[in-house]
Amino acid sequence: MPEYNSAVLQELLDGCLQKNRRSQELLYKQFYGYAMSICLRYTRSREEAKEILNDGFLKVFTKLESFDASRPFKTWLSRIMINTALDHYRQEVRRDVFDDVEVAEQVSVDETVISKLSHEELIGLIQRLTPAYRLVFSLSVIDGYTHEEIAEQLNISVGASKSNLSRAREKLRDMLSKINIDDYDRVAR
Amino acid sequence: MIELPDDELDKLFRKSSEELDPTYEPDDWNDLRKRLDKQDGKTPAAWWRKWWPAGLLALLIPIGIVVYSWEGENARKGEGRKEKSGIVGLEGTEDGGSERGVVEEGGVKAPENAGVEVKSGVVSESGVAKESGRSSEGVGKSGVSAGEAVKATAGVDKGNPIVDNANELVAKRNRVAGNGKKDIGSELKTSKKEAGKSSSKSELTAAVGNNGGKPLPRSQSKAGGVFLEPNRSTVEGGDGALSFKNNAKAAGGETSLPQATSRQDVNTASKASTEMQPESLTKADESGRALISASALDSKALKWNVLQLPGIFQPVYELAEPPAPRKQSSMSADDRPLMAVRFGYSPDLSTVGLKDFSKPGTSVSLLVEYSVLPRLYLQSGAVWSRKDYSASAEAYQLPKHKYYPPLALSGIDGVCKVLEIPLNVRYDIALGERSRWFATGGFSSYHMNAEKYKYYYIDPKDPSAEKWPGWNGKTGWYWLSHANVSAGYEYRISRKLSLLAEPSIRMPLKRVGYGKVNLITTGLWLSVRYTPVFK
Repeated sequence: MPEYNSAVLQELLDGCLQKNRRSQELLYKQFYGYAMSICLRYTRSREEAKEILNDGFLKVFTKLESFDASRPFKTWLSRIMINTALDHYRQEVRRDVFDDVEVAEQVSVDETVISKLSHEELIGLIQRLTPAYRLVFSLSVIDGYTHEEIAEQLNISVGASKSNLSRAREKLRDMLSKINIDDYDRVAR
Repeated sequence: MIELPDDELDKLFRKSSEELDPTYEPDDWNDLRKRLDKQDGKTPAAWWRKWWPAGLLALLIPIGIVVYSWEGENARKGEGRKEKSGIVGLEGTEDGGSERGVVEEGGVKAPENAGVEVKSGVVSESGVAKESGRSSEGVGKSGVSAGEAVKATAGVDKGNPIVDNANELVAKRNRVAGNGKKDIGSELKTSKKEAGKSSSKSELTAAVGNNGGKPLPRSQSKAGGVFLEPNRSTVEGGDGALSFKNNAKAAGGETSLPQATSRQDVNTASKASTEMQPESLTKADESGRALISASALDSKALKWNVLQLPGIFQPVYELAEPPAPRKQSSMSADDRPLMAVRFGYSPDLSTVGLKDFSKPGTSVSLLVEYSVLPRLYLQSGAVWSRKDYSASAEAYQLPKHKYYPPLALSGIDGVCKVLEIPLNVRYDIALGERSRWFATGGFSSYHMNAEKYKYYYIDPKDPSAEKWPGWNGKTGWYWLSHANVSAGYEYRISRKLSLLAEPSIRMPLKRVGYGKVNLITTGLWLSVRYTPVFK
């Protein structure tokens, strides 16, 4: 039996169904890292990621009865987190609060940071992308969505999705070029 | 620029993403826990928002019960006081002998009474005799005839000659007044035993028959020591009949107060009578056969119904004065309508989550109320309303389709025409002379007749905006979809019409409409209530 269907997890989920606060806390703690890593790559900052994370977990706890226990909980959780991030993105678009693309591009990688490049910093590079690029890149490269699905999710054309992905990669390469190649190699290993 | 192939670049970031393990922050959980507490109603504010309608009902119902029981207790006390005073008065009379005797004489009343009244031409009301050629028509519910007094006296005086003429009848009545101080308790006991015999028709007929052609002169029309003067009131006695109150005034007022019955009262009444009719008083003193006081007549009058039963002799305490009919308030139980019809209007303030109120719609209602208990009504009917509301897209649950997440909406405006069938229980919390406070609770079923939704897209240039600008249609019935709570004030402007003001709220029990929205409606019902049927 897969880990996500373990007895411990099932017990936690049962407790969450009964709105047991302790079970909810344990589930939250257990999947915090996994869910936060998803949220981080769809947002610009940890604060924003935290907001999406908690919105997502709130949905988890309130919609848990709709979860099919025969399927992986992690998949369901990631789907919720991604959808929550997309909802957040739509709201941000409506409020037009995103930074100008060029401003985001002008953010340079601090030379002192390059030597300490880590997973967090690489994710930080994704966060520096513009929202449209960041979402397409994350959906396509990390979460495995097809361009058709991305186009449907973001209400854009397939061509626009492909274009955004291509440009997102260019931006990331550009940012990485400013990082010491040795540090890059260290991280890549 | 680093020349990384796409797959290498993707691998780099995919690996980082998979291996990233952000440190757990307890504060993040604390924030979420607060939100969960709020949502689950575990915070006081959330609890209140969630349960205030139930709390309001829980508050109003005990208040209503307390008020109801308090008023009932007061009513019982009032009746108890009256009953007690009646008994005390009678007991006191027994000591004094006069009133007890009169009451028991009253118990002797025979069905021939009517004939006596006709023939003697003396009709009384409330224990006061009056000359009248109208016979028993002038006898009110609580009235007692002079003939009755005659019969009673006759019963007491069984074995003694029954009055031979009207003058003797008058004299006998005056004797009663004049002998108020005389203790005739033993004689009265005898009369109680022999009353049935004394009320023989033959005797009474004979007595009255002798008086038939000699109507009593007005100057001699006195009973129980009360000077009789025509009562021209058409309110109490109607058609100018004498009312006891008026006679009581003439006699000094004591006779109108049963609880004040005492030797002094009798004396006062007797004195008044004596001053006005010295000759009659003399006759009464001479005969000394019976004793009737004004207050006794009063008591007798109030036992009319009991005295209607010939041959049944009630103990004194059973003949205690029935509680005086309470002054009927216009909203009393006696004229409480069993059914009523209400027509009302209310502004319709519909919202999602008690925020973002849009312009008020309109509601009209036609309701029927049926009284199932003295203060409890069942209420149902129809309410037509137009509800305008708007909310963020998250508040709706639009049907899923292949476009899910269907449309990038920021908000939805709704305009719905709704037919509502309420089923409520209304309880009158407090009743006033012309007004009442009430609370209503129940459930409503919604029929969504016409729904119009207008979608607002996150991106105004969203191509879907042209394709799906909104939705029009109807989704039909949503049974018991809302809980109704209201409280109001009713003011009666006439016997059958009253005006009501009733703030109300309808809380959603289930989502309604195409958008599956939790619709909360508040309003202020202004209604006219018509009560066509009364008990």
